[in-house]
Amino acid sequence: MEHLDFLLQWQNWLMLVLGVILGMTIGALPGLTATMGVAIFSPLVFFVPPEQGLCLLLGIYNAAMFGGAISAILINTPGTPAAIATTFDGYPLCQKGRPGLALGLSALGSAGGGLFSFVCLALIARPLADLALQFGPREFFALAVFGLAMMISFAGDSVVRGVMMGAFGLFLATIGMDPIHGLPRLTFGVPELMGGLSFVPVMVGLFGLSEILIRVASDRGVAALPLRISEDEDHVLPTRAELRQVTPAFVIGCVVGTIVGAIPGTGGDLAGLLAWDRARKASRRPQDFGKGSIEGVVAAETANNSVVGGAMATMLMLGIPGDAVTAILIGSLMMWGVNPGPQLYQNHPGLVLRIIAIMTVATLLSLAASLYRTKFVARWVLKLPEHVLISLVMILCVVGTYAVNASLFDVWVMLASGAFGVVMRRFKFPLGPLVLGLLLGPMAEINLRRSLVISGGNVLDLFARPIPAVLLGFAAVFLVRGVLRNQTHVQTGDAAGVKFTSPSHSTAAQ
Amino acid sequence: MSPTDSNRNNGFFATRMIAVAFFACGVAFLAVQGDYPLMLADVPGPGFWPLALALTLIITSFIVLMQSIFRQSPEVRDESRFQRRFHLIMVLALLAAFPLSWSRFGFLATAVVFLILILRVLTGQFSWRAAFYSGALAISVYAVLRYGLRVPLDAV
Repeated sequence: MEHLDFLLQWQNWLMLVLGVILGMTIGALPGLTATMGVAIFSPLVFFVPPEQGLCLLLGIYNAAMFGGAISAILINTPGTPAAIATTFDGYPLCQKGRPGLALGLSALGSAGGGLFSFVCLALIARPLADLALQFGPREFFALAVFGLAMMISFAGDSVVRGVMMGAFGLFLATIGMDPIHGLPRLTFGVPELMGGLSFVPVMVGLFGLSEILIRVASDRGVAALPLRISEDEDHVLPTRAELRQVTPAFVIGCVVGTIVGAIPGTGGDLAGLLAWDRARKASRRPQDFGKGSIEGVVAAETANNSVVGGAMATMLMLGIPGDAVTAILIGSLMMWGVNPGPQLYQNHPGLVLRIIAIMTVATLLSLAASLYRTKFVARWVLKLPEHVLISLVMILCVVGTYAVNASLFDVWVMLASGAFGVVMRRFKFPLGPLVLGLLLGPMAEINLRRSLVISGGNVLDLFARPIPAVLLGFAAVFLVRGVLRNQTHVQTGDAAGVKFTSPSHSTAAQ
Repeated sequence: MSPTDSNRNNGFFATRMIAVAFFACGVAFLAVQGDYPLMLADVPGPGFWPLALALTLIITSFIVLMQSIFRQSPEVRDESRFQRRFHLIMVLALLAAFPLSWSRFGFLATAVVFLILILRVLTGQFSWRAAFYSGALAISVYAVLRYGLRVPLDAV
């Protein structure tokens, strides 16, 4: 239990509470995502001890998932992409005069889904780490390719564009010292590039600044809050009959979310959509879905929070991020000298337990905050003037990036990444594969080169062992499936890719 | 030509430009590839992995270029998200000017002016309230980073 002593320190609790407040605020504000919140604050946490930093970042991550439901339910605008499916039934339920019940159910579903996925994380972390310890260079290279292939097949409407962005990310990762021979590569005499492109400025630019720049370019303000709090105000907690009704949807959300979360490259948005669809098919009242079904709200919210445990499992034990947020968290852990992967249990005993404890406490704090005066928070948060918010985020992006290495070069990298991110989002080039390529580049390169040395230059030797053969096979299958799906969508004109994705939300899904 | 056709053509043009840029990136590496040996002491050298990636970039960007030339179906984009392009350009210019002025005039003064100008662009008007907010925000950020987190903001 000595690994949990950190919970006795008030500084850690302060950071957790701060993280939950920031996360709820960021999640509730349309246009600001959990990814963006974690990206903006990740540079600042290097000035505090790792445990405090983890409390802040994981608090933001967890609470933003809760907060995303607030604007999804009250103004039909998902606060985060993960809350897209919540709008399908959350807003209609709100229009029926039951916003309290919708918010209460979403909070309970989110907390239940999150806690379920943490139990799964605790159960599978050790076996997964033991399995990964047997991995050699071939397995790690295959794992990197598999992670990239999954991200490419799920992100965006075009596999070719995904491969191009992934290759560009891998290419950017080659800047700096060659990892085996120690020779400078593509640095063009710039001393700041000798250590490679810093991950944090690129992340802040791509996910923080570009989001806010798109908001600047948009003529959509935040819709006025049409909230009419009726006599239903006190009915935040569901009745027993309602709880019985939503139980199957809750179970579906838990299972779908945890499985989807463990697949690299997916995320809460996909989990929410899949769980909502599964719950509709399994429901006794499928006709109510999309018209204010409480089962729909619970399935979507449970699933988008259940992804957290699965995503953390692959991130911590395999070093492969499950989604964009865990990609940023890997960068933060590396800055603290913690390398996620099979050696994590040996090198940092207790870290996984600490992370599970932080996530659990953050979930319970978020639940308490959601159930206690949610509507007051929502009213306050959603009335924040847009220009105030934009200016605040911009200054945080700039000073946060500068703070990491006290380097203006990093600020320029962040600005360039932000502008690049705007152009890529505008023309539907997915950013996920680029980020994953940047992150997995060194792992892929070192292990491919080592594999070739071991096999005497024989590429086919990569398929000689079962695990790499299976992983590379799955990667190929998913890419081919993605190409075929794209072809079908081009022929039918269905560019959104998911049949129930509302056109107004398709950009958020990026 | 209808506005929709115009947007679509602009979208195809931009996609082609992006594809050409990625293609050029791959070709540029091929041009300097001689500096990075493919094999060194009988093992894959520093140029091996970048060369594979450069070739992948060239092939995929070429396919994207061809797709944008020959594809018949329209590219679906959310045009309403990019109505205020002038605002975007102005904000980008201010963001670029911020680090340049920072090293010359110090963080605090630069941040106050930057925030006032950003609010001027976003709201379309100057107000003393915005100036007060800018000053308060800049001082708060400065205090937290400089004295709380000990970030050397003035050492640029």
